[in-house]
Parts: sequence; structure tokens; C-alpha cells
Amino acid sequence: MSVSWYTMVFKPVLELGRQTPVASQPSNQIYPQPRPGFAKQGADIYRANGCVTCHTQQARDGNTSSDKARGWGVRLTVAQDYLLDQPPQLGWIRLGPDLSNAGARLADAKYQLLHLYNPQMVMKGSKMPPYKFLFETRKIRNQGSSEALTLAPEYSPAAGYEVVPTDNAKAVVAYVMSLRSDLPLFEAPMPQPKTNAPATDATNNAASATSTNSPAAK
Amino acid sequence: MVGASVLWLLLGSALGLIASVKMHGPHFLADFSFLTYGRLVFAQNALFLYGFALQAGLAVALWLIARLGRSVIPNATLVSAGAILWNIGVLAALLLILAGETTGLWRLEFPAPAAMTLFIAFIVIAIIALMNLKARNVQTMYPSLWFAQTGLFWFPWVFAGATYLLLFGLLRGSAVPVIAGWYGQNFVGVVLSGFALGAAYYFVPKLSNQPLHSHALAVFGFWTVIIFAPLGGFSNVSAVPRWLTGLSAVSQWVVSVGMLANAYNFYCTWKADRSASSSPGLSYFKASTGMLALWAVLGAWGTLPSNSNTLMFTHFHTGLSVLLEYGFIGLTLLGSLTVVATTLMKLEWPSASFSKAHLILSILGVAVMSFPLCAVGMTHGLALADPSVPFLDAVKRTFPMFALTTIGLLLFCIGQALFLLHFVQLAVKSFVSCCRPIEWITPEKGGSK
Ligand code: HEC
Repeated sequence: MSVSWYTMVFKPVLELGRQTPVASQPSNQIYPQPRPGFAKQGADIYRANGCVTCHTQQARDGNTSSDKARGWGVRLTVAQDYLLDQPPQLGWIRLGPDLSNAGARLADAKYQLLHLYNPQMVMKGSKMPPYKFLFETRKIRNQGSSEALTLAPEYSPAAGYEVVPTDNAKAVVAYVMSLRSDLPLFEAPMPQPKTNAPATDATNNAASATSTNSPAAK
Repeated sequence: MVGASVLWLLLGSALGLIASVKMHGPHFLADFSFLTYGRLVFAQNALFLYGFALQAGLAVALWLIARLGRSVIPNATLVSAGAILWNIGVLAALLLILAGETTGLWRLEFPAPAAMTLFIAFIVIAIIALMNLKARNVQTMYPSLWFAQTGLFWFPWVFAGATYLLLFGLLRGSAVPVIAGWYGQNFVGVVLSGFALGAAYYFVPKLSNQPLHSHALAVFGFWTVIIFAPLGGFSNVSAVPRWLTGLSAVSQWVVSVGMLANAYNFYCTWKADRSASSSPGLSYFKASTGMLALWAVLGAWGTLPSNSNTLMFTHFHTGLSVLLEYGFIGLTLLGSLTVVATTLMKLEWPSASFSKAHLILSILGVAVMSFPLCAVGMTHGLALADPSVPFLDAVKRTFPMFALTTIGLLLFCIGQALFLLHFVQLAVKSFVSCCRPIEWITPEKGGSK
């Protein structure tokens, strides 16, 4: 039992507890940065609703998995990436896509709100549940809210009503958009080091997965 | 006893809830926040583990200690109080999870207030159980007692440690999933598995009227599990230090060997019985032993380097957990409870067909739940590994198999509902027939080897 305490509790706590934000080379940016307050609030909504029971937030490297080819991450994620999260929501199952670098590929908040309201509207056949309870359907006052969702007729509420995201919905979207792991780290370099790795190359190329680089996480 | 009946009730409600979980399925979700998929999954897991498995494990451990030690529980009122408190804790956990207060940690899903209630309740019951163990009238300790004692000591330590570190927010970053994984592994791999092994070491020989096949194998099975199980449990994470996942894979192999030794021991024990008149209750243990062996083999297979990457993040690991938790631990404890209940009330089950239906539905339910899940995991993993398959197609490919899982769960739930009904009948009968409170534990028969 004490063996277990030592190896599985003290050692990891010491090892991981000592980590501090580091400067990412070559840009010298300190990483990770604390999430903005609103995104932090969104992390709580994400946790409360168990998004973690379908989505992982840990990408593996391109040599041993298809994660990179699927555009889920540009490098493998390591302990450093989660340093400031409490708790980090790594997940364990991929009923939905990995979100470790979601902020880089899903930059459109409007789209995400629609998706959250009813995934079927933007992704036919999605298995993700609708989160309508994070939205409010209310009577249109004056000219209506500027935040109201633009819904196709078959999904629209009754005439004279509009669907508006609550703060919770906006926060969880802000959180998803704050998820990024695309700065190179010492223990997890970019497969093809580029300065300022542009977020956009995350989505398309399967070819670079063949790079000879094998990042060694300790 | 109050404690015992609450226990059954909870078992039923726990499983009833599971039914509702899966029947809704991902798509049929109501627009109620407290019934959203993510919360239900956490609630189901917490109820199964804490509402059913640990509670039933404790009850059986108490019974074993009294039986094998030929002693009487010294303070039954306190035990009942502990049991009631435990159930309050479980209820609190359930409500908090559904209200959106989940911690998001697998196997430690509820926040501090519920955890502390559970902790206190456990301590009360465990102290009485250990006092009783100390006061036993038989000096040698039968293997069942090793496991029971280990579980009683082990749980407070790991639970308190994990609660303190995780629920009070002392840790952040990657240390959180590491500690949560460590706790979950100890809880299921040592404490719950230990209670179940203890029960099987008692009931298999008892129900087949045979001596235990091998004492030495039991010693081996005990130590491998106790020493190596706590080092495992990291097959489904990648963003932790590499040595952890490596150690975890090695430990899985050793534990698999240990568990196979235990399973083989049970097998040889009931095999030795040629009378063919063995008690029907034995079937639970036969099935659970089979599930255990299968779990050991599949678990080891899954850690092979060629497989682990493909199976990571799929339902394969869920299937494995179902095999171990519902298959081995669940069936073993259910089998034990069917015997304990009748012995306590000194009555037979009112209806043999009910008993039979429960047996069949439970076994079938677990089988139809777990095997497809493992298959689903393989399909899913292979499809995901091929980047030319669009993500959603990879998920959809798993759905035909997934439907089987839902059916399995449904069968299991019907089985448990029957059991609960049957139990109520039994309790009423017992009350009517003697009009006196059921005696807790009667020392006269003692444990047979
Ligand atoms: C039942 C499982 C499930 C749950 C629970 C779930 N999702 Fe999803 N999610 C999916 C699936 C399947 C997809 C892929 C299909 C799609 O885009 O709709 C997806 C896609 C997404 C995407 C788009 C990813 C991409 O790369 O296009 C985002 C963002 C997302 N989910 C966020 C969330 C958030 C936030 C929550 C919690 C409020 C959540 N999900 C809960 C299954 C789930």
C-alpha cells in the first residue's frame, strides 16, 4: 500500500506539482496562459454537463495515431498543457472529436452556438445531444436581440419569439474557443517546427504525419 | 434489519436509474438540464459504485466476518445508523451530480459534502466490522477475511486521500487526472474486487460443498492483486508522464495472472463437486468467475503495444469496466446477497421462478452489455485510426452493436426490478411468519471450508 502511495501519489504530485509555466521557443511566449475569466466560467459549465463523457482533450502524436491527420492537434499534448486547469478535463472516450486544440479550428462563435443549441442543424446525424437548456426562448421585444440565433424555419420557435444564448452558453463556447495546444514545447515540439504555427494548418494535411520526428514525452 | 433493507432498496433505485440513462440514449434527450447525457453517465456510475457495489460489499463483508469468526455483530444499531448515513450520502451525491455539481472525475463524481458523509458512514461500519473481526472466536483467518479486512482498511485511506487532494482543490493540472486515476483503480481494483473475491472465496466452496481447491493459489491471488492492482489504471490517458502508462500496462499483466489464478481456484473447487446437486446460487459465481477470467485476458490483450493505441479512447475500456464491475463484482455480490438474505430471515425465497429469472436476466444482461462494448471499442478504434473515415461515420459504425448494449442493460434492469420485488415479498413473509425483528447474524452454523 505504501508502495502505491509513493509511486502513484507522492511522485506524480511532486513531479507534476513542480511544473510552472514555461517560455515556448522560439516565440518566447509564456505558456500556458491563464484562461480569461469568462472561459473559466465556461469550464465549469463544461464540467457540470459532463461534456467530458464524450470529448477528450488530449491529442497523441502523428506517428502512432491518426489524431494529427484528423486535424485534432498539431502536436501531442503533454502535462504542461493542463497546468493551470482545475480540474483539467482530459476525458477518456471519443464519442465526439478531440477538443484539445478546438480553439484553433473552431473560430466561429456563432456556428458553435448553433451547434450547441441543436447539433443536428449544422451536422446532420450528429450524436451530440442538444443543449437547449443553455438557451432562452423569449418574446421578441423592440427589434429583438442582436444575439438571437439565426434558425432555419423548421427549427424556429413560434412567431414573435427568438432564441437567445444564456451566459452559460456563451461561456462554454468561450471555453471551447480557449482550448489551444499549438505552441511548441520542449517536451512536445512541433512535428515540423514553424514559427507561430498557424492554426489553420491543423485542419488539412495528413502528409505531415509521416515526419520522422518522434517527440519523447518523458 | 433496517440497514439491510435500505441496501436492497438502493440497489433497485440505482439500477432503475441506469435504465433511464441508457434508454434515453444520446438522442432522446429531454430538454431538462438534470437529465443531460453527461450528468446521467456520472450519476449511473456513482450509484452503481457507491450505492450498490460498495454497500453490498460492506454488507457481505460484515456477514462473512461474523460467519467465519463465529461471532455476533457487537453493535447492530450503530451499523444500521452507519448504513442509513451511507444512503443519505449516496442520495446527496446523486442530487448534487444531477444539479450540475459533479467534479467531472470518473469514479469520484460527487463533491465534498457527499464524499464526507460517505466517509463518516464508512468509518462507522468499518470500525464495527474490524472490532468484530478482532473479537472472532476462530483464530485462523480464512482467505475471505484477508480480502474483507484489506478492503475495510484500504478504502478509507485512498478515499480520504483522493477527497482531500481533489475535492478540496489542492491540486491542479495533470496531477488531477493522475490522482483520480489512482484512486479509481484502488477503489475498484482493490477494494471492490477484494470484497467480491472475499465473497467468492466463501460462497464457492460453501455452495458446492467442497473444500477450497488450493490455499496456496489463494495466497498468490491475494498478494498479486493487492500489490499490483494499485499501480494500474492508466490505459486511457495519454497526457501523463510516460512511466505511468508503462507501469500501468505491466501491472495489468500481473493482476491478470493473479485474477486468473483466483478464477482457476474457484473453477477447480466447484469442479470437484460431482453430486450435481449443487445449489442454484452457485450459478452466479460460475458466471462471475467466467467474466473475471475474460476480463483478465482481454485486459492484458488490450495493453499490448499494438492494441493499446487503437483501443485508447474507445468503448473497449468501458466494456472492460463493465466486465469487471457488473460482471465479476456485481454478479458475485448479487449471488452472495441472495444467499445472505434467506439465511438472515431463515426463509426460502418465495418463488423459485423469480429467483431463476433474476439469475438468467442478470447474467444475460451483463453479457449482452459487456461483449458488444468491447467489440464496439475495436470497431471504433480501427475506424478512428484510419483518417480517411470521417469522424461521425466512425462513431455511427458502432451503433448497431451499441443497440445490443442497451438491450443488455434493459434486461439487467428488469432482472433487478424482479429481485427487488421478490425481496419485498420475502421481507413481508418473514415479518408475517414470526412477527419479530429479523435477527442480524446467527452464529450457530459457522463457516465451512
Ligand atoms: C453524447 C456525446 C456528446 C456529448 C455529451 C457532447 N458532445 Fe460535442 N460532439 C459529439 C459528437 C458526436 C460530435 C461530432 C458531430 C458534430 O459535430 O456534431 C461533437 C462535436 C462537438 C464540437 C465540434 C467539434 C469539431 O471539431 O467540429 C464541439 C465544439 C462540441 N462537440 C462541444 C461540446 C460541448 C461544449 C459539450 C457539453 C456541453 C459537448 N460537446 C457534449 C458528442 C457529444
